[in-house]
Amino acid sequence: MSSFRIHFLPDDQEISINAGQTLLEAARRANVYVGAICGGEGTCGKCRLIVREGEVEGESTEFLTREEIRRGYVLACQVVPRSDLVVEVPPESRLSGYVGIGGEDSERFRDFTLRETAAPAPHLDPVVKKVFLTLVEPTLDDPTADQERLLGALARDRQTPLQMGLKVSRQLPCVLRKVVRERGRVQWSWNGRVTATVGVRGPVLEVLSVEPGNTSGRNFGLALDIGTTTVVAHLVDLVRGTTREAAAKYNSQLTFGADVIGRINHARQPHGGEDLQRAIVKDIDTLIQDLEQRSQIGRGEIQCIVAAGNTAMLHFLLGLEPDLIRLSPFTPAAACPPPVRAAEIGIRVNPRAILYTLPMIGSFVGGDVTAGIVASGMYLADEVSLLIDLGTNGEIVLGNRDFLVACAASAGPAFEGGSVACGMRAACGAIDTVRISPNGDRVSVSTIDGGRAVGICGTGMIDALAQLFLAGLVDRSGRFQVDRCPSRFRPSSEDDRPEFILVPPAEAANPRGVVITQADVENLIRTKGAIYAAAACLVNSVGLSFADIQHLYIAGAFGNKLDVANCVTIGLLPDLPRDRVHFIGNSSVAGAKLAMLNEQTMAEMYRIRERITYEELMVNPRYMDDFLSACFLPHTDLSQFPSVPDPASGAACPDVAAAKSMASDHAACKRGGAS
Amino acid sequence: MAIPDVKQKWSGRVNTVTIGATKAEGGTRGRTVTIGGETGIPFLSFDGETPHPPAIALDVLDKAPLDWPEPLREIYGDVWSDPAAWARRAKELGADLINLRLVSTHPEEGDRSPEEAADTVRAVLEAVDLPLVIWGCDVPAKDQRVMPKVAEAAQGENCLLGACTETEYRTLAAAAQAYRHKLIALAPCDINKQKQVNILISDTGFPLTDLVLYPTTASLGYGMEYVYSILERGRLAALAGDRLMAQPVILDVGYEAWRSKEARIGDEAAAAWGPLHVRGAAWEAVTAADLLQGGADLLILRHIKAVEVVRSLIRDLLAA
Repeated sequence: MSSFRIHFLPDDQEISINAGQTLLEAARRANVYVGAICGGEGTCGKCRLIVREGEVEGESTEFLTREEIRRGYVLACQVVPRSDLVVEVPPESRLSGYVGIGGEDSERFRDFTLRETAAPAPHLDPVVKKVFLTLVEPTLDDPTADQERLLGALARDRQTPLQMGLKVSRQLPCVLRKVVRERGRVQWSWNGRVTATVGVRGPVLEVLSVEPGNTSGRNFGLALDIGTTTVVAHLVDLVRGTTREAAAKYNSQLTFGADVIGRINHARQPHGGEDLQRAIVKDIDTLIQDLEQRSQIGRGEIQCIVAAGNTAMLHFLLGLEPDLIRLSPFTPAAACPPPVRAAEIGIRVNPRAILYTLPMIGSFVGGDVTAGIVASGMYLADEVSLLIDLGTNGEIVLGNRDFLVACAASAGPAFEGGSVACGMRAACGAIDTVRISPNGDRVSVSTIDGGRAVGICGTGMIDALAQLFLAGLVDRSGRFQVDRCPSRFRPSSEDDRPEFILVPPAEAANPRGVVITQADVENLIRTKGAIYAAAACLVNSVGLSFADIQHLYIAGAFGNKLDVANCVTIGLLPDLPRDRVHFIGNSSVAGAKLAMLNEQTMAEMYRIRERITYEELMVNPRYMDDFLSACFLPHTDLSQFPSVPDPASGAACPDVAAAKSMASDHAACKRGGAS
Repeated sequence: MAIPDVKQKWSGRVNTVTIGATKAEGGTRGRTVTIGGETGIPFLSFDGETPHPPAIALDVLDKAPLDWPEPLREIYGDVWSDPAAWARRAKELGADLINLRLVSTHPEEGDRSPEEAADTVRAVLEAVDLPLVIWGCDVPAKDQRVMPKVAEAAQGENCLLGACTETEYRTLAAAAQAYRHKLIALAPCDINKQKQVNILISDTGFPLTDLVLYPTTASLGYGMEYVYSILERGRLAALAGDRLMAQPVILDVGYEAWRSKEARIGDEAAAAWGPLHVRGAAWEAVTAADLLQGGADLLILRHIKAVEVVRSLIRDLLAA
C-alpha cells in the first residue's frame, strides 16, 4: 500500500500515512492538534486545514465557502491525500497545548485559595504520609522480625490496621541495616533510622515503601482535575500543605469527540477505550513533565495522585466500561473505584504511588462534584447553598449540613466553544469580554491575551448575548433585530439568516472575522435554559425557592472573568443579591487537594456520596416546562428577574406617528430581504 | 349530611376586548362585539360570571374557495366570488363578526397586491356594518407588505388582525398600533411559547389588553384533546392571575372541522356515517361545543346549522 508524507505547518511536524487515511488521522498521529468537535464525522466543520502543497480528494462540504475552497481550505476529517502534502493548521483550528500559562489565566488555574468559600483550612493529615522512625536494634531478648518491628512502631499511635507488601518486606532488612560485603562475607550493622511511606487504602494503611534515614521532609502529591475539555494538575507539597506548581492542558481525548457521549461512542469501537486511556495518561505525563521542570521536584517523589473528574472521564482513566453510563438506567461500572497503583495504568511517578479517584455520585454527577461540594464547604453550613458547575455537563447541587440533592443538566458544549460558529476554548485569541453601546453601533471586545481575536469563548458568548439583548439587537426570543443596526449584520454563510459581526475580518486573526450566528444565539439560549431550569427544578423539588439560597457557588474554569450581571441578564443564573454569588473557580481540583491533604476529608467525600440524593431530571415532568419557559431572555416569567432592565427599545412605539413610520420601514426592510 | 360548598374563588379574570367601532367611536360599524371578561371556569355560573357570551364570526374569503364541500357550496356558492356579497350573506345568517381571509394575496393563490387587498377590505366594510377579523395569507414576507396597507384601509374600525407569531410580530404590531386595531397572538399548543409571543408583542409597546390569543385549533378526532388541555391550562392560568394568559381566545373551528375526512367524504359513506349534509355541520358543531368547554371566546364557523347549534348551546349553558 502506498503512503504519503504529510508536513504540518506551523508546527513543522511530519508524518507518513497510508493512502486512504484522512488528514485528521494524520494530525492525530503527528500529535498536531486540530479541533474536531464531532470526533471526525464531518458534522462540526471545525477541523479546517489549508492545503499549501499537494493534492487531496474528498467529499464536498457545506462548511466551507467557495472562496475558502479556492484558497485551499479543507476539512481534515473529510479528505485523504493523493500526493505528499504541506498543510497549514489555521489559528481557528489550533488547540494551543497549554491553557495560557502566564498572566491572569495561570492564576485562574493555579489559584488554590478559595477565598469565598466556607471550607475549613485543612488540618494536615495527608492520605499518603511519611513517618520517620528510629527502631531499636533487635537483641536476643527481643528478636522481633524486621517487618513486625516496623509495623509495631507504626501501629503505636493509630487504630487503623496496617499492611505491607512482599516487595517492601524484601527491602526492609537492607534499609534497617548497613550492609558491607567483603570477600564473600556479608556484614550487617544496625541503622534503625527509617522513613516509611504509608498510604490509606480503604480501611487499612499500607506501607508503600521504606527508605533509610529521614526523608520525611519531602513528600509530594499530584491533584488532578480531569475535565472533558481541560486537564489541570497541581503539584502539592504534602508536608507543608502548599501548592508548588500548577499546569493545565487540553484533554487530548477531544479529537475523539467534544463531549462525553461522543467519547463513549468512540470507546465502543475496537481499541477505542485504549485510545481514550492512552490519550489521558499521555496528557497527565506531559503535565508532570512540565511540573518537574518548573518545580525541580522529580516525578519519583510523587507518592500519590488524587483525580477528580466526571464519571465518564474517571471511567476512561481507569479503563472501566463506560458504555452503560449513556444507557438507561444510567449505571456506571463503579462509583467508588478502589485506590490503585498509578503505575498500573501507566502513569510514571513513584512506582509505589497510589492513585485515588474521588467517589462518583451518578452517571452524570461525578467525582468532580463530590470535590466541589467539599471545596465549597456547603455540606458544613446551616444556610442552604446552591452549587452550579458550568461545564459541558452542568452539575447542580443544593443543600446544607442536613441534606444534599444533585442533578445534571445536559447543557452542551456552548460554554466551551463547541457548536458555536466562531467558538473556541478559553485560550490565546479568545474573546472573553464584549461591550456593546446602547444603540448597538459601537462594539468593543477584548481577548484573553490581549491579542487579535481568533474566536469567542464561553464568557465572551455570555457577554455578547447579554449586550446584544440590552442594546435591542436581539429580542427576548433571541432573534436578531437587523434594522436596529444594519451595518453590524451580514448574511450568514451557514444559512440564509443574518449573523452579527463582532469583529470584522480586517481586525481579526481569522479570515472570517468573528461572528455570532442566529444558530449560536439559539444554542446559547438552550444551554442557559437547561441550566437555569435544572436549578429551578432542583430547588423546587425540595420545596424551596431561589430566594432561600444564601450562597450561590459558581464553579468552572471561567474564573473571575464571568460577569454576574450579564449571566443574570441572559437568565443563566437566578437573580439573587450579588453578595450571595461566589466564584470558586476550579472546585474540582481544589476538592482533590483537600482530600489529598486530609484523610478525614477524603473519608467525608465517601460519606457525602452516601447521603446525597440524585434527582433524575429526565423523569421530572416539570423539567420540560421549566426548560421551555427558561428559553427566553431572561425568562418567560419576567418577575423572576426583577433586576434585569428592559432592552433598549427600538421596537417600542411611543406614539402613533412613530409607529406609522415603523410600519412602513419594516415593510421596506423586509422587501429588501434584510431579514 | 350537608353538601360541602365547592365553589372556587378565582383571583384573576379574562381581559375584555372590544372589536369594531361605531360612528361615536370613530368607525362606521353598526355595533361592536366585546369578548372575554370571565371570572370563572366556562359555564360554571356558580363559580364566576360570563359577562360576554362567546361570539361567532363567519368565514369570508376574498376569492372563491376551490375545496369547500357541497354543504358549504349550497350556502355560499352563489356569493363566494364576491367578498362583499359573501359578507352580506354571513350577516343574514346571523354572524356577530366577519372573518375575512385575504387568501388571494398568497403568491400561489393569485398574488394580489397590498392595494388590491386594501380595496377588498374597504368593500367588505362598506357592505356590512359588522366588526371584522382580518387575516393575511400566512406567507410572512407577503403579509408584512399586505397587512400595513390593510390596517391603514381599515383605520378607525378597530378590527382584529391576525396573526403575530414568535418570529413575525413587529410589522403587524406596529401597524395595529398605528391604526388602532386589536391583534391575534398565535402560538401553537404551547403555553410557554404563548407567553413569550405576548411578551415580544408587548415589548413593541402594544398593550397586552388589546390581544386575543390563538392557541391553534384541532377538530374532533384530530388531536382535539391536546388542544383542549392547552386551552384549559391557559384559562386556569388566567383565572389564577397570570396577566400573560389573561387574553380572550379565538378558535378557527370551521376551517379545521371541514378539513376532516368525516366532514368531507360524500354520501358514499352515508350507510355507515350518515348523510353528508348532516355530518359535516355536526362535525363542526361538536368540535365547537367541545372546545367551548376549555375556554374560548370567539369561534370562527362556516355552516349555518353549526351556528344555530352552537348558539343555542351557549344560551342553554349560560342560562343553566
